[in-house]
Amino acid sequence: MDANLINGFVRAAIEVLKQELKVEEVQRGDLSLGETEFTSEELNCLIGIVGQLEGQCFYCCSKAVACKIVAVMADEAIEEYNDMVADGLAELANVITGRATIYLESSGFKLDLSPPTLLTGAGIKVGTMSIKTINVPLVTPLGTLMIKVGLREQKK
Amino acid sequence: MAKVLLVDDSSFMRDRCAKLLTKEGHDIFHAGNGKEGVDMYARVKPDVTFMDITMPEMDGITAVAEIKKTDPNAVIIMLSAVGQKEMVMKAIQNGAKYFIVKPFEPMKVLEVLGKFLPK
Repeated sequence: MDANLINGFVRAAIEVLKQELKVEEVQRGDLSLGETEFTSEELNCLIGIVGQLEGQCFYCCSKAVACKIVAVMADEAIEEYNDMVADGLAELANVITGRATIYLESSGFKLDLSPPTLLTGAGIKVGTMSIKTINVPLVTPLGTLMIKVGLREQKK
Repeated sequence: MAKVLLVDDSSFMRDRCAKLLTKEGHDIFHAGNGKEGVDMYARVKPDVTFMDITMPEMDGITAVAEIKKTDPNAVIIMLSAVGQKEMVMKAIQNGAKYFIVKPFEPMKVLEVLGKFLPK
């Protein structure tokens, strides 16, 4: 995967997280190259991408971090993980990916997204369509959201 | 006070919008995908509809076209994370009046709603 593609996702994620969490700082951690499968965290939201690029993005975090993030988004106290947290995380993933596709559009890529799918449960092996991912931790005051992006040019 | 239909597969997003709009005194109706949105529109005949794009069963672009077939005067505002130029153009060509890209600012939603509410 072209490492430049990740920049659109990082930019989108930082902007969206700053706005949704109402914080000044979201730090990008060190990028790493993943394999074609990874071990899941407690929550892993998957969004499929098709078009001139194909692949997947994963947004992974603990339930505790998701609760904190969604509590801010919903402007409500959240005591424990529930369906609203799951839905809020899925929506966050959807919004970040949507914004990323806007940035990728300016690089000439027309893309469509799938609705989000949430995989729940740590320690599961998750395949990434034989596409190695680029992994980026995004560190917020509420905890870390790991983004894994695996994209390739569409097979003809 | 207006009847507002929210069409989005994310109940989180619908609830968030509903909270904002209910505070302003509007009556809110929900639909979880484009097909439900089309059916609910026919039942409720809202003053304004907020429509997401990426949804199962029927996407928002298609739902706009379907609603416009039966009500050419329908006021539909797109509210979506997918804000690529081509999507915006398709939505407007199908009859949407405006396009708001998520994440939305609450004031923007209220401002746009105010533009299209019946006087």
